[in-house]
Amino acid sequence: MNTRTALAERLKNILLVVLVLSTILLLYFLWNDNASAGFRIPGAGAGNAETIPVEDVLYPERVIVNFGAENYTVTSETASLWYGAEGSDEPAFMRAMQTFLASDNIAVGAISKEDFLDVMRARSIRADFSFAIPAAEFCSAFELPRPAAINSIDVFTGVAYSEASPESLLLCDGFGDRYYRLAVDGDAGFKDIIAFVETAENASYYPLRTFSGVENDTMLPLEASGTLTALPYARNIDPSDEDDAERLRDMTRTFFGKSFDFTRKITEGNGTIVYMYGYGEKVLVINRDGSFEYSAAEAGRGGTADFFGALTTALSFVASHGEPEGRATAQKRIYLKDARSSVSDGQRTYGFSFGLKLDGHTVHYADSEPLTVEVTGRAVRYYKRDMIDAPAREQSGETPAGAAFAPFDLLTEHFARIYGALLEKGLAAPLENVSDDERVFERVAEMVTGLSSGLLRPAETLSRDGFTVQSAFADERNLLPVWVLSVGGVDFYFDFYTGAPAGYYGE
Amino acid sequence: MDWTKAKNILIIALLVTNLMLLGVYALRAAQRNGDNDEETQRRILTEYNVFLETEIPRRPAPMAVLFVRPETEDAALIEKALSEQTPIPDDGLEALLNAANDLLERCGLMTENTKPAPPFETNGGTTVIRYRDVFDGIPIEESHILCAIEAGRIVRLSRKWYTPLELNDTKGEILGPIEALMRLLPEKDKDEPFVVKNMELVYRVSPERPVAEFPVGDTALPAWKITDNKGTVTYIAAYAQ
Repeated sequence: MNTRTALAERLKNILLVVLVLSTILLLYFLWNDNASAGFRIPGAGAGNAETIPVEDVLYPERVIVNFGAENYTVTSETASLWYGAEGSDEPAFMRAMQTFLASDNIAVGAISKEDFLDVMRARSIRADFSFAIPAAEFCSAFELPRPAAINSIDVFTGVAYSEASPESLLLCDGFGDRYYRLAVDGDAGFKDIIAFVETAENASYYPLRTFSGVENDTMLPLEASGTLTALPYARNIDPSDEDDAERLRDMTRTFFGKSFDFTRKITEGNGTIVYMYGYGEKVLVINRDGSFEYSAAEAGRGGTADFFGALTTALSFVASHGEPEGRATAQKRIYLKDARSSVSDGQRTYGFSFGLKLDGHTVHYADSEPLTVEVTGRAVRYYKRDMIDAPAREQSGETPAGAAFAPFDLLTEHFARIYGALLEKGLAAPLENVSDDERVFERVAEMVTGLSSGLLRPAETLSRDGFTVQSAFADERNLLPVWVLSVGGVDFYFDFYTGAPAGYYGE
Repeated sequence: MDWTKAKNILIIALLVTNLMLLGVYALRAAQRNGDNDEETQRRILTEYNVFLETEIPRRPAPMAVLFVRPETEDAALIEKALSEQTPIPDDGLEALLNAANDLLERCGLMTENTKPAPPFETNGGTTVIRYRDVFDGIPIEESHILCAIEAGRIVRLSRKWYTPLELNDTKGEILGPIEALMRLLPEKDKDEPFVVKNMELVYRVSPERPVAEFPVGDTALPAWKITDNKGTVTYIAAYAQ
C-alpha cells in the first residue's frame, strides 16, 4: 500500500467517525424536537385501566331477619348474604333472584305499605339499601333475567321475602313509599336464606314499638357487647410530609395527564395547593388536611350513561385517582352509601357518595364523606376524596372496653336534647307543652329511623347544643366508638360505652 | 473482505441519512417559523377583517411554565426611603429615571429582572416611571413598579411583583402569532375591523383564583398579549393544545 492510499484510508476512517457522531447528534435533536412538540389533555383518568368492581361496593346497608314471634336480628355485614360467599353454594339474595326472575308468568302488582309491613311481621327477611336502584338496569347490570314485569317498577330500595306469602318477592321504594309484589306459581325460593342466617350466632333485635309504645318498626339491639375500641388514624396523604411528596405529585398527575407540566400551580398561605388548567377548565384543590376536590367544567361529553354506567365511571375514577389500594382489603373497604341523580340542560348527573369500613366497622365522618363523585354523561364532573388510614386492629394494641351503653337508654336519657336539636333545625314540629316529657319522648321516638354502631371521625370543631366533641379528641386523631341514632334525617352520635353525646350531623 | 469498498458504502449511506435528517429538521423549523411570508399572513388576516399595524412576531421556541413568588412590600421601608430622598436636580427624563432607580436600589427592589418600560407618562406635572418584570427577555404581566414624580420629588411608589423562581423542566409548543390571532376571531364581530396595534409574548399570572387565600407561590404561563387600536388588551393562552 503506498502512502497516498494509506492517507485516503485514514481520511475515510475520520470521516466515518464524524458521520456517525453527526447522525447521533441529528437524531438527538429530532428526538428532542418531538418530545417538546404540542401536547394534548387526555381526559382525567385516561391511561389507567384499573377499576373497582361494582360488586365490591354495592350491597345492602342492612339485612333484617324476622325469625318469627317478634324475634329479630339485623346485620350490616351484608355482602355475603347478598351475593353469596365466593366459591360456596350458600343461599344468597342474588342467587335466589336469578332463579326467581327466570320463572315463567311473573305477576307484578303494587301493594300498600300496611300490607307490606303486615307480611313482614311473619317469618321474613328484608335487605335495605340506603339508595334507590333502577330495577330494570339492575337486572341488566348483573345479568339477571329481565322479565317484562320488572319494567313496571321504576326504582327499589329494598328486597324482601315473607313466609306469609311464600310465592312472592317484595320490592319496596322507601323514598317514594311504593311497594310491589312479584309472584310466581310455587315458592319464591328465599326461605333458605332465613334458615341459613338462623344457623349462625345472631344478636337479638326488637322493633322500637315493643318498648316505646309508639308505632315505629325501627330495629334496636337488645344489648351490645363491647367489641369497638378507639382507633388511631392518619391522613391517607399528608401534603406537609416530605415522604408523601412524590406520591402526591404522582396522584396530581393522574388528573391532568401530560398537561400537568403546563398547569398552573398556586400555593396558598394556609398550605392549600391549587392546580388549575386553562381558565378553570379543570381545578384540583389539595387541602392541608390531605383531602382534595377536583372539578371539571367541560365534563359531560361522550353521551349519556345510566345508573350503572355512571357508577362504573365513578369507580374507575376513584381507583385511578388517589386510592393506591384500589380494590377493597379485609381491613379497609369502601361501599356505596348514597346515589342520587338530577337533570340539568338535558343532561343527567349522577352523584355517588361512598362510605368507609375499617375492620368491618362503618366509619362515620362528622363533617363530610370519604368519597363523593359526580358523573355527567360519561365523564367525572366533581370528585372529593377525604380518605384516612388506620393500623390493623391487632397493631393498635387496644382491647374491647366492656359492656356497651344500652341502646334504648340513649332515647330515654337524651330525648329532650335530641328534640331541642331537631327543633332548632326546624325538623320537628313544636309541641304545645314542651315540659310534657312523655309527649316529647313519643315525638322523638316516632321520628327514629335507625340505630347502628360504628367509628366516628370527629370534626375539627364541633360544638352544638350539648353535643360537644372535645377538641382533644380531634387532636389525638382517634376514631371514636359510637352509637349512631338517626332521628328525622339527622345522625346523633353517642359514646358507645358511656352514652355521652358526641355531636350530630345531617340535613 | 474489501474494507475500502465497505467504507465507501458506509460513508455514502451515512451521508444520505444525515442529509435526510437535516432536511426533516429544517422542514420542522420552517413550519415553526411559519411557512408563509409576512405578506401572505397579513393577507389571510385581512380576509377575516383583522389588520396589523405592527410587525408580526416570530413563532417562539417551545417554552416552560415559570414558577413565581408573589411579593409583599415593606411599606415602612418605602416610606422611609421616600422621606430621605434628595431633590432631583432637573426634570430631564434621564435624571428622573436615575432618581427612581436610586430609590428602588435603596428599598432593595431593584433586581436583574427590573427593567424600565418607556414611554413614561407625564400628566399635569406628574411623571410616572414604570418598570416591568422581565425574565429571560419576556415580561411578566401584572408585575410592575410605578414611581410618580412631582416637582423634583418621588411622591409615590406602588408595586405589584412576582419574583421568578424557576422554569419547569418540560417545555411545550407555543402557538404562532397568526394562530393566536385566529383564536380571537370567534370572539369578535366579524363585520367590525379589528386593528392590532401591538402583539407580544408575555408570562401571565392569571387573576382568576379558585381559593380566596393569600398565595405564597404561583405560576406564570406564556400568553400572547394583543393590544388593539382602542387600547383594549386581550390575552390568548399561548400553549398549542
